[in-house]
Amino acid sequence: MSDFTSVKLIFTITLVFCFTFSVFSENKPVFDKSFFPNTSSKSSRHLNSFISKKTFDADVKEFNNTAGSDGAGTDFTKLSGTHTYTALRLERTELPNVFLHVVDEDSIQVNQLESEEDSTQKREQLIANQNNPKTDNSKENSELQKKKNFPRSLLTGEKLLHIFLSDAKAEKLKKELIIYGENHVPQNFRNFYFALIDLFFQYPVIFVFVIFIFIFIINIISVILILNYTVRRKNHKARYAEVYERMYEEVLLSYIFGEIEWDKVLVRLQKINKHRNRRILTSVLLNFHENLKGEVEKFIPEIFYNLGLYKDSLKLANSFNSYKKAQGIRELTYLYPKGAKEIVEKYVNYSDDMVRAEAQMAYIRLNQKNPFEFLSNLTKPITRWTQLSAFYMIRLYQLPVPSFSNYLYSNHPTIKNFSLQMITYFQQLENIPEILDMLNSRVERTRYLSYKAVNDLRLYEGRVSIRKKYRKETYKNKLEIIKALKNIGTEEDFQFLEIIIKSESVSLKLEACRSMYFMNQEGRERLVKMSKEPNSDIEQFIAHITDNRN
Amino acid sequence: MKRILVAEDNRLILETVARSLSKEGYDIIKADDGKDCMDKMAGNQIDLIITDLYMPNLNGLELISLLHKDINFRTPIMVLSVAGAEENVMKAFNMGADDFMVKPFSLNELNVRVKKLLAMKN
Repeated sequence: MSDFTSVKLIFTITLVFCFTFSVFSENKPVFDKSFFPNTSSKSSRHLNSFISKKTFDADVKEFNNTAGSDGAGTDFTKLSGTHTYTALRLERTELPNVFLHVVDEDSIQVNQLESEEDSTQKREQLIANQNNPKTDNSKENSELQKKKNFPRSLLTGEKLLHIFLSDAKAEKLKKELIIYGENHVPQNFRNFYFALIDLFFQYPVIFVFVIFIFIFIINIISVILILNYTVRRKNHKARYAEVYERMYEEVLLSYIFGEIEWDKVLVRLQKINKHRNRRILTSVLLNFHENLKGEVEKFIPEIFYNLGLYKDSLKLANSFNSYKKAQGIRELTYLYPKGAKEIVEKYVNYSDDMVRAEAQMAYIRLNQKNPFEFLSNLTKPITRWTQLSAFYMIRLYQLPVPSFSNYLYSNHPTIKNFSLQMITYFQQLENIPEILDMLNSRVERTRYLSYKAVNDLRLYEGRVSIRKKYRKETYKNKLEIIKALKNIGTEEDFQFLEIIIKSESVSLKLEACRSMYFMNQEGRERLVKMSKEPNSDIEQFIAHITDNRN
Repeated sequence: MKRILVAEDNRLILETVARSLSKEGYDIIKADDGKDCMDKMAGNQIDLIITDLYMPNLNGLELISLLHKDINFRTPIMVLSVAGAEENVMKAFNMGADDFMVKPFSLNELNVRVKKLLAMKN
């Protein structure tokens, strides 16, 4: 209800604005008091052609219609907007015997004389009329004048400018703005630009503010309407989905528990020919699949296939949109494995990460005999998410674990790293030579995982190799080498660790102390001996590493 | 007739479990979350509680802990959750759960476990 109240309020404000606008629209523009004599000898056809150009708005065309054959004495009273610009353009056309005449403050005349001979005479007559405007126009004109002058009492942009600038300078500024517009403002926006200048110089400032307020209100109304529509649509969708979800769950449960036959299922699954409803039904089946296994599990692909829902999923899997493609692959993998197998392989090396990850997980799920075979042909990186999911699936579905040494020589570092982690986790000790080979990898993380494998699998064969690598290693890898020596090191490594304790950074020193201390009794004795040397921090290090809190 | 209270926020699971156990001849009371479960406990003689771990308002662990505040509480509790990590299982057992089943689960297995828990209670 509050939304509607605010809409009503805005509507009322708009009405008030419209009323204000109607009052101010009585106001007519002031035309600058210029006079443009024409001396060239072009025909009156040019004037009509000029008038019909885009520089004139509909009002000016009206002038064209009412001008008559002589073209003289046309009243600009009804015109609005770009008069200054019009005058400038008219001046530039150099049309024959055409001149503008200011009748009064709010109106001008465009005059075209039949020949050059009578031009002087007519001009003089018109100028005389201007000097004495009330001679032929009586009371009526005076009333009109008063009416027109009413809004002029308000502060216009021009008047505002005159507070700071002289008349001449204000005039110059206006012309410069127009010329600037001609040269810089795009053609499509030029009329709007000139109208804005006119507005500023001719209309009350309050009028410009009202326009801005009006635009602002329109904006707010649009936002409110769009929001309202979006929320209503969303709520409607959610309600619709909930109603049909309930209905479909109920029907499918009845079928699964043997309460109804398949024929009745088809009757009770309403609106299943609608795409939206088929999506709802697919989500219900996925929900079944995610939560239930065993005897219920066999019903799900059967229902999915018999209702033809796999066709929608296949369409999604072949869609150009990556999100839809991934969704389609996922649905097919869990609900129609037979159909999924055919398309999964082609997406294993797909360029989009999301689709590729989904296809790789689907591959693992669908090829239970050799779930990681795709790693041999992989040309794109295997994402962290896929690695974690693959590991989760191995444990959840009790998948057979292949020898990951097959993939250690892959071109892609992410596959090497994943294989190293799997070798370490599943303790594949038959792969020792391959792991030691990885110590020479160019990739820092691969070397790090190799040191970790050497440490975790207690590969004593790698002790000398990792010690040799120490000097050129990064800080993180140095730390991992020292940690490994704690578990696989011997007395031969004491000297190496002592050098670290004497020369390296505090954390490396601390780790070297830890390795020596926990390696054996001899290591502890050597540390105590070292601690007696002057300026030695070893006592503090020993206190730190033997503290149970660390 | 044995009465089982099932607390589960996933409507599909709630309905499936309820229907499966009803077929076995149990009287089922359904609750949408932990708070609803607590409300339905009052005034009802419950023989077994089956609860999810993650539920709105009052989660499974909070529910178990609240129920065990009463020293006379002897009703067996079975947890049915997707969070089958060791730490979750340990937490649930330490709080007072009697059994833990990880989703996706088999309805046959559920029925057997329920039977066993009820027999143990007797």
